[in-house]
Amino acid sequence: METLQNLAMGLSVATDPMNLLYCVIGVVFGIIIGALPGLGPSAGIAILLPLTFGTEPVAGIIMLAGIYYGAMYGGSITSILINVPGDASAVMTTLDGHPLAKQGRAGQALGMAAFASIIGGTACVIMFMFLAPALAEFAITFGPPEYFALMVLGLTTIGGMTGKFPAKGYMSALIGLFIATIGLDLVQGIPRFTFGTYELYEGIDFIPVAMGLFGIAELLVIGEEGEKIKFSKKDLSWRKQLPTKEDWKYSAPHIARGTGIGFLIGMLPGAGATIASFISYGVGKKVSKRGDKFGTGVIEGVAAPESANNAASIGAMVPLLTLGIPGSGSTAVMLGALMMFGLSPGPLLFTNNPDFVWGLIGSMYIGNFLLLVLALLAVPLFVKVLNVSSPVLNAVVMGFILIGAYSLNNSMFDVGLTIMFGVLGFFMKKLGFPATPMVLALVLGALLETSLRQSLIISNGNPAIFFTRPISGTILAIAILAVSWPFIKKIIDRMRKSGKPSVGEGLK
Amino acid sequence: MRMANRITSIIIFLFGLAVFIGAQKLDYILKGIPGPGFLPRWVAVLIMVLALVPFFKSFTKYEVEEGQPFNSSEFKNAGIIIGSAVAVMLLTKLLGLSLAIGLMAGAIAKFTGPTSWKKVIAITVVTPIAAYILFDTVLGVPLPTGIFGF
Repeated sequence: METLQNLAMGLSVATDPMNLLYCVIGVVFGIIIGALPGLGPSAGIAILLPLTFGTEPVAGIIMLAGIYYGAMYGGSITSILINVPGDASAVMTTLDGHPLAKQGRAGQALGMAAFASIIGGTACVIMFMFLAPALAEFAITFGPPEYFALMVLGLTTIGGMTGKFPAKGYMSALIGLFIATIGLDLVQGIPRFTFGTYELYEGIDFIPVAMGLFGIAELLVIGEEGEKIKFSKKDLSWRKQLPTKEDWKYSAPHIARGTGIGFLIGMLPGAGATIASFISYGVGKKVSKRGDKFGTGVIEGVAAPESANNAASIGAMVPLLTLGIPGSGSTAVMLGALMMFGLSPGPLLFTNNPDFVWGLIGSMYIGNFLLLVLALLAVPLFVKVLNVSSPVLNAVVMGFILIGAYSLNNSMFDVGLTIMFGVLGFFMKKLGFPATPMVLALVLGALLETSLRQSLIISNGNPAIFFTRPISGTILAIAILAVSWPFIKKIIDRMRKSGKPSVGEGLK
Repeated sequence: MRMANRITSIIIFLFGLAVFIGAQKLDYILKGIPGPGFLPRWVAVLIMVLALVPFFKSFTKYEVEEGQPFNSSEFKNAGIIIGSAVAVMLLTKLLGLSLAIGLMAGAIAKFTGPTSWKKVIAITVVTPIAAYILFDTVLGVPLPTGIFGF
C-alpha cells in the first residue's frame, strides 16, 4: 500500500510540466544517440550533462534516465535498417533485425523492438519499485567497512569484466583512483599532485573526464562516412510497425525471459546491457522451437535482446540508487551527476529524498510510454537525423562538448582537461583499455578513501575490520573471488584436462 | 599490438613509478590512520605490478591474432578534431568562445570528410549561435567574449 502511495506521489512529480519536458528531451536525444553508430548511452549522458546544470535534481535525473533507456531502444534502429548497431547492446538485434528488413519487414522489426523494449522496461520498473526500497532498508545498516568493501567489489568487477583483458581494466580503474586523489587531502588539507596549479586544488571533476573519455574519444574513432539509410515513408508508418498476432505468439515468451535476464544482469556491476542482450538471445535460441532459424530473420530474435537491454538499464538503477554503486559506465556518469546535484546516492536517499526517488520511478513509467509513442510515430524523423554525415555531426557534437565543459565552472581549464582526456580516451580505445572503470573509480575514489580511513579509525588501525564484519567480509571475499576467478578457472580446466582419460583409454 | 602493448606497459609502469615517488612526499600513516600518501602509494604499487602483465604476456602466444591498433586515416581525422579543439583554447581570448567554436566546427566539417562549402558555412554560423542561445541565454552560462564583443 505504501509503495502505491509513493508511486502516486512519484507520478505527480513526474507529470509536472517541466519534468515532463525534460523526460521528452531525454528520450528523444537518447533515441538519436543510441541510433548513431559509435555514440553509446555513456557518451550521450556525458555529452548532454551540461543541459542539467541549474535544473532541479529530479528534472536532471529524469532527463538522464530518459537518455539511458531511449538509447537502449535507439540502438536497434540502425541495427535493423542498415545492419550497423548503434551501440554494443544492439549488436544481437542485427542478427535477425536486418534479415527481417531485407524480407521487407523493417516496420515490424522496429515495432517489435519498440514493444519489447517498453514491456521489458516497464516490467522492470515494477520490480525495481518493490525491490529497491527493501534493499535500501537492508543497506541502512551498512557502515564504512561495508561501503569500502562494496566499492572495492564494484571496481574489481567492472575492471575485470568490461574489457577484453582484465589487467587493462584494473589498470584503468587504478589510474582513475589516482586521478581521484588529486587535489586537497580531505583530512590533512594539504595538496596532492597539484603541481602548484590552483585549478587542481579542488580535484578533477568527473565531467571533463567522462566527456573526454566517452564523448570526444568516440568521435575520434567514428569512421568518415556511414551507410545512408534508404527507406520509404510507407514502410515505416506506425501501422506497418504493429507486430502481427503470430509475431506476438512467437515473441511473448522471449520478452518475458529477456526481461528477467536483463533485470538480474543489469543489477550486477560490470555486466550491463550488452551481456544481458547476448545471454537473452543465446538462451532464446536454445529454448525456442524455431532456434535453428535464429539469425535468418525471426521476430523473436529481435524481441529477446531488445527486452533484455532495456530491462538491464532499469536493473542498473537498483545498485545505483540503493547502494550508491553504479553498475555501468552510464550509471557511473549518473552517479557523478547525482553528487553534482548535492544528493548522496545510497540507502538514505529513499528516506531523505523520497520525492526525488519516486519522481524518478514515476518518470520511468511515463518515459517508457513516451518511448513507445515516439518509436511508432517518429521513426522516419529519427532516420532523417541519422543521415546527417559524420563530419557535420562530429563538428556539432564537438562544439557542444567544449562549451559544455566550459559551463561546468566557467573555466577554460576544464575545456583543456576535456580535450586531454579525449586524447587519452582515443589511445585507450585503440589499445583495449576500457574507460568505464576509470570514470567509476574517479567517481567513487573520494568515498572509497574516506570509508577506508573511517573504518581504520573505528578499528584503531586494524585492517582486520574489513574481514571480521560479516557483510564486508562476504563482499570482499566475492571481490577477491572475482579478481582471482580467471586463475581459478585456468587451474580447474588444467586439472580437468589432466584428470580426464582420453577416448582411447576410456574404451579400454 | 604486441609492440603497442609493450610500449604502453613501459609508459604505465613509469607513470606508476612517478606516482610512487610523488606519494613518498606525503604522510603514509598519520596518528594511526592512513595519511594522504596511503592510497596513492598503494595505487602506484598496483599500477606498476599490473603494467607488467601485458608486457610479459606480449612475449607469449597472447594476442598473436590481434591486428595493428592504429591506421593512418583515423589518425588524420583525430588530429584534425583535436587540433581544432586546441585552436579553440588558443583563440578564445582573442575571438571569444562562441566564434572560436564556430570556426572549429567549420574546420572539422570541412577537413574530416567531403562536406560542401555551403554546409561548412552554415555550420560555422549556426553552431555558435545555437550554443550561445542554449548556454548563455537559456542556461545562464556567460561565455567568454573576444575583441568583437561576443
